[in-house]
Amino acid sequence: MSDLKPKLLLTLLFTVLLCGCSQHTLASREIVRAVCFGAENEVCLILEGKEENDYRSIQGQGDTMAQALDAAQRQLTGQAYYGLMDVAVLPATVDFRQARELGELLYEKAQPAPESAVFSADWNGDTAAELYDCLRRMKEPHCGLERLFEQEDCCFIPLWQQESFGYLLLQQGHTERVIQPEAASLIAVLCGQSSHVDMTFANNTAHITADARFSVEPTAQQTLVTVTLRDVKLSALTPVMEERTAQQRLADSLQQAFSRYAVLPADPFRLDFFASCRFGAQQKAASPRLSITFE
Amino acid sequence: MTRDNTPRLFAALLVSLLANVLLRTQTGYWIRAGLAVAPVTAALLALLGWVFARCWRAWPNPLFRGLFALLLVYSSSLELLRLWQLSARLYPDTVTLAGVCFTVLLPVIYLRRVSAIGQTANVLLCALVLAGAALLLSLAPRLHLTNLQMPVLTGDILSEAVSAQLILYPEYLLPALWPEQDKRGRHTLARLAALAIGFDVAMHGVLELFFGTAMPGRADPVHAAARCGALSVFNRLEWVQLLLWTMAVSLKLALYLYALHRLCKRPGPTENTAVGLERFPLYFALLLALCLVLHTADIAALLAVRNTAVWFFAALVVIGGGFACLTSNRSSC
Repeated sequence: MSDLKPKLLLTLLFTVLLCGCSQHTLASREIVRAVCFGAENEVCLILEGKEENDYRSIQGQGDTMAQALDAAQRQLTGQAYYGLMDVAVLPATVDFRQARELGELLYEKAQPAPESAVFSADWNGDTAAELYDCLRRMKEPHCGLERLFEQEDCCFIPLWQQESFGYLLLQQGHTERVIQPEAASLIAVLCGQSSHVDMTFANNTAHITADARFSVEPTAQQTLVTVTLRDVKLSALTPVMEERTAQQRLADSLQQAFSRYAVLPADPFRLDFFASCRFGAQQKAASPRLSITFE
Repeated sequence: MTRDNTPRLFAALLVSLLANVLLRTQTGYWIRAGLAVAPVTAALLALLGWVFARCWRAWPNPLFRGLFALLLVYSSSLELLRLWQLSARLYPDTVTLAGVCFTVLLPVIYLRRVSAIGQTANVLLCALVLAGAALLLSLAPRLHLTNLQMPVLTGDILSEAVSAQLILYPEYLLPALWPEQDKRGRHTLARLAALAIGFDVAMHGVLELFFGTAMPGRADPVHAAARCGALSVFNRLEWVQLLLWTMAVSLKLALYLYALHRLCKRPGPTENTAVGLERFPLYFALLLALCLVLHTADIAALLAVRNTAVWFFAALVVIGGGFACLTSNRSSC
């Protein structure tokens, strides 16, 4: 045993020497809370300040987004730390290919990329920190970074529009910008990014908050999508609007949005999946129909 | 009352196999295909383990013992390298190879007793179950049923799933080395294979629900999913996972070391259930040297070589043992 101790100690010493102790302390790192990509190869990093809810921004520009991100990182005084990043903002003009490229860039460059919500928005250097403060408070709709890659040929990204949110429906070779709150809420529910509806609709004449769920029932003749709104609080914002009328107008708007987006070839609501579950692999959903229930 | 010295290592073998699933660098198949072939592959692996154990006992010879020992040393260094590369990918410039070796190998000193391996494995198994439940709970809102893929199950898709599941880890062969075989349950290998393949398929299911079509291309998928989970207690669940995975690799290495100890020991009247401390400097030095030699190589290729080598070795033992059985007509066959 007496022989053994020096050997063990030597092994320990050798390993400790190899390990080294040259790591950066957390205090010397710059904590990145958000990465905002702009339309013209510009990137803005929102960094945590010294006090709570105090953020500052640093911008970088380059020939590509990766270069712009590098340029922004180079301006930091410490090492960039992405472990607490919770928001990524894509340009409002983003298309499907660029959204995926930026998603990959975040996965690769901004390691460790933790749970991050993705939005698209128009921003500039002065408003970026303020934009981040608004976006981080939004619990829903939540579009995680992984959702950009879930489907082969399309994805939905919430579009920040100051007072409400819309959606960017990105497909290969085609981008739809959804700005009506009714359509945006329907998309958020049907693509699983939200289970709550809170919006002003019908040209700002009515407001609704409700919990939303949906179910899909495919048959050979049609695919019935039922959206159930529970705990509905519907209020008319003008005296001329009655609650029943508001409800009808909401239902009409949702029907209109559904008939437009459910039939797109990219199958954004994955209705073919439900048809495949019922009738076997590779089956297409027949004639999608929407039914809305208020409870 | 006599003390039962039979080592109970089922939990250790299971944890060791589960760690392979958790440390996967990429997924191997869609869940539908995996489910379809899982009963066959689990049965095949269990059967092979059982036949191997029979043949191993039928024809004990130094060449096989040497080859098995080499395979275990090689596998141990691969496990260290795999964990190091995972850490280096996730946290660039923060983890060194020596640091990983140090973290993983030091607990092996404590785990040199077989009783310690068994007890730690039980604790670790419970911790893994709890962490798995926490992972599922935290990920539940992000799992989408519509992410499940519905491919037509063609021969290609099924064979891809079969080859991904039919990885012959050394753990399936290790029970052949354990003492007092007759005291073990009859279906140990069947349970082991069923639980390991079942866990693999279940994990693929969760990942498919999370990643959708992006699943096959996503690197370190379990960790990538774990880091998105956030419970009120664990804001970053990834650390819990990483800690457990490191402990699981330590346990795996301790299990391999115990097997090496049994392969190298001289036959004696008493059963020694602990690896002598005097062997550790040589063991550490050997693994560190191997890791240094292999650290620049492609780990996926090295793992593929390991899989082929284990299959080849198992086939060699089965043929040799089978031949010995036929010629000597021993009762142990």
